[in-house]
Amino acid sequence: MRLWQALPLLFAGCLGVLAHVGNPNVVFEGKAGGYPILVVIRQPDVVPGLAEIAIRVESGAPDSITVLPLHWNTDRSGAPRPDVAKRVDGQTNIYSAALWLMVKGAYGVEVTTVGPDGGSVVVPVNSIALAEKQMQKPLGILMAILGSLLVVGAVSIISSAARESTMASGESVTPARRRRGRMGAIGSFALFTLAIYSGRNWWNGLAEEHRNSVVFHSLTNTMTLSTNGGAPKLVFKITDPRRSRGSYALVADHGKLIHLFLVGPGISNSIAPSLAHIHPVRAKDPWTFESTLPALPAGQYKIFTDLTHESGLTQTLTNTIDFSLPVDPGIDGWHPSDGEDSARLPSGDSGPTHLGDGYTMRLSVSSGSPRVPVTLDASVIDASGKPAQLQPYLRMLGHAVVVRSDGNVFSHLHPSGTFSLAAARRFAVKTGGESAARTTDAVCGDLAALSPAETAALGKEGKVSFPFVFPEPGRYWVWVQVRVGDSIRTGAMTVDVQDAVASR
Amino acid sequence: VSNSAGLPAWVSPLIIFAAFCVTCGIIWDISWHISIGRDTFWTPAHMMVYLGGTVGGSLAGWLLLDATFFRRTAQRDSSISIGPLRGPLGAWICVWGASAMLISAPFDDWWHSAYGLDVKIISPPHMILAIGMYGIATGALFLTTAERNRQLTGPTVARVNFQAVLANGIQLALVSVVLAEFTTPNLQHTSAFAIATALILPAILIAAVCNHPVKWAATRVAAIYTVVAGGMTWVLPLFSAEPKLAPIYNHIDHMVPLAFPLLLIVPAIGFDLTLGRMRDRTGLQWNLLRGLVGGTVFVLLFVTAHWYFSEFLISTAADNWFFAGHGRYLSYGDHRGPGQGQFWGTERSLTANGALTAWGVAIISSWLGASAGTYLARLRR
Repeated sequence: MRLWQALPLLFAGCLGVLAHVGNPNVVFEGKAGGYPILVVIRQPDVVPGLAEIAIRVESGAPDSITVLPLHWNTDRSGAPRPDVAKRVDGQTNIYSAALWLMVKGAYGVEVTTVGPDGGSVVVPVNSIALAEKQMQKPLGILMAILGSLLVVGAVSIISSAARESTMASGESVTPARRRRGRMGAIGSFALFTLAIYSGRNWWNGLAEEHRNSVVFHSLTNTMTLSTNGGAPKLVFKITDPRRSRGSYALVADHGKLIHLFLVGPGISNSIAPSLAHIHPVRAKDPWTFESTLPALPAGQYKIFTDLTHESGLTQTLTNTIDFSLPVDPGIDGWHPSDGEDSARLPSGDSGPTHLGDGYTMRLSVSSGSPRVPVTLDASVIDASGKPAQLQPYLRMLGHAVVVRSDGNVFSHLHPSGTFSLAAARRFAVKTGGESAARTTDAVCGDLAALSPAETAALGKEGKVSFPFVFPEPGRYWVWVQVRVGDSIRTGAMTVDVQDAVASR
Repeated sequence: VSNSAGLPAWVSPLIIFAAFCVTCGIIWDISWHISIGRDTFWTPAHMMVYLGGTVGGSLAGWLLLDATFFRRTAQRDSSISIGPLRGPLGAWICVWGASAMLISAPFDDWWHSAYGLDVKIISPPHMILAIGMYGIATGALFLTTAERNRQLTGPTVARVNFQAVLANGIQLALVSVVLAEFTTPNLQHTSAFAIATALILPAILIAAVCNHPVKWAATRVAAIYTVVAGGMTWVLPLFSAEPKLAPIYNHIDHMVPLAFPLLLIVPAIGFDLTLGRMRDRTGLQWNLLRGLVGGTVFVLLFVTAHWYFSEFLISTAADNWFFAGHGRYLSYGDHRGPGQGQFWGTERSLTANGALTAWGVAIISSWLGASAGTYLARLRR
């Protein structure tokens, strides 16, 4: 993985809220045609902005690799000619490219391997503007100095022009002309002051317009908690005073409209907090969802809700909730609203995680460095030490959740990467119809696209891995969820990500 | 050829060339953005702007050095002083303009990183760039005007008169680019069109009337504007282009130009007819009279002419290479549809209030132009 650090495009720091929180990198791992590739796309944080793309060919040697931006609102004819990705100097299998995403909304980046075994895959990304940036102080000071020089220069020129520019040959500067020169200086200085003041107001107006109509504001949401005969119930409501929610119709991502994660209590503790991964079901109206909850320990929880919209846009809504129910902690008596809801209580496990019924999960990460592609590996063994058979869970071999201990980074990922499968499918339908969509399902690891025998073969080693990029240093909680022995089981680990090489 | 206090004969053509490059370069660049979309530092349009800025800035810088160090005595009567430095006023303005263009670059770069690659012409960094480019064009006008004023009685009078008028026309063409966001034919029934044009255009044309000691001065300046702006409108589509950014809503295979030039020739003829004979009258009262007459003529002739001309431009009758109308040339990002044949912003249509405001603005603009023009007529350095 060292070589990736040489890539110029993976250097920059953390950004604000994205779909997935605090992580601009979208990772895809899978096949484009016959070539297995790893794609990392750094989403822009302004609109229009530049999406930076890195592609690593894991095996084989395609003749070339092209990338193409597909906007959600146009078909393929709305895309320009594809760009040929450049091979990174000194590398044989790493390519880079950059694409402008011109308008806000969802884009699909179609990555095509060109060669005897070539093919395409579409990686969905968001084109949204994040919070307004402030000018860095050194640049601000430089601009202020240069701007002042311009003003001083202009005032000097006007003053001198007022004094001397109409003098005939041989005429010399009279006191009256000197006076005019001074008047010119004063008048022009006043004028420039006024101009700068108006310019400042204009800029402030533009910045406000940018904040209001360009910067992306995720849908607002409310959470209410009630106990009905002892079982806690969560009501999740998407509210949005800003825009018509009609343009934000939801589509199911790997089978669920809503993936809601509760992380807590006290997520800055040294041990992994509890995690509940639930799928609230639609209540009376299209924007209200309900779910029973396990009796989690009392305290404050961070809530992350992943949504995929019809356009392919994805967003993660955040919230916090206080959990203080007069119920004994426990998840045994929980009757989930959705059969694939799961939860895990805090645990001091270090090293292998005991998953119950004799199963054990071992978790590792290939590198503890930020801003480089890493692999989160999980392997499950049964009581006898043999690999456990992984069964499909939400149409995958496994799901992983990564949260930084300050709660400012959140990702929900799959063996094929960090993107929404529903969004990928949507772009596949656009480019190649339903058959392309089925190929995409298979490439993205949707087990529903495979036969039961193929699925069983994939899970028989008891191993699953997830490609990821830690956006910046910090302590991260990583949970991996699998279905073994007909139950959903969750393992956890702590990863300390540091700029210098270190991990545990 | 130069007279006792004059500049070398090649200075004026070269500075006019610089202004021309900046003007055509920026029009080409806008066309590039609406046709191809993706650009780099090195696009030919950018190179043309840099060429103009570099030629203008360095020529003017050389003039300052020359007047300060090398030929201080010879240049005495054609230069003004700032501290120990001397040089023609036009050269000072050009150097200032080139500096502003340079300074706008890091600001613009930051602007893109903070607010996104701008799709608008009018943003703070672009305005600084525009003022810098305007400095080059205005410097060219001042240099050629001062040269003309020093050679009024010489054998070269026809040439220097032409050069000053030419520089003035190019300056007008450059200024009209800044107005492009308001002057799309489909917007020409709005109050904003009347007010924005009234703010700037009368000033330049009235200044031309007062400045140039030739008949039909404003008409000549407007004619040069029409040739430059129209030339770009007619020539650019001859070049092939392919959009390189998504989403593409409108497939094009050639460069998309800006709209047909404004009918500035109409108010220019009006200005020359009404104000052309007053050229020798100086003083505040005369300039105020020029403001009143000029502002009135502008609103009566220009706004009215465009009220009807825009109806033609958005109609299918104008859908040809010459008039470039009816959405014949749309950006790759525009949706083709009935909108091309309709007026936009009808809720902001020109009202009596809007027309009165435009009139007031045009009067002030004309008055300022008259003051500037009578000053330019006396410019010696």
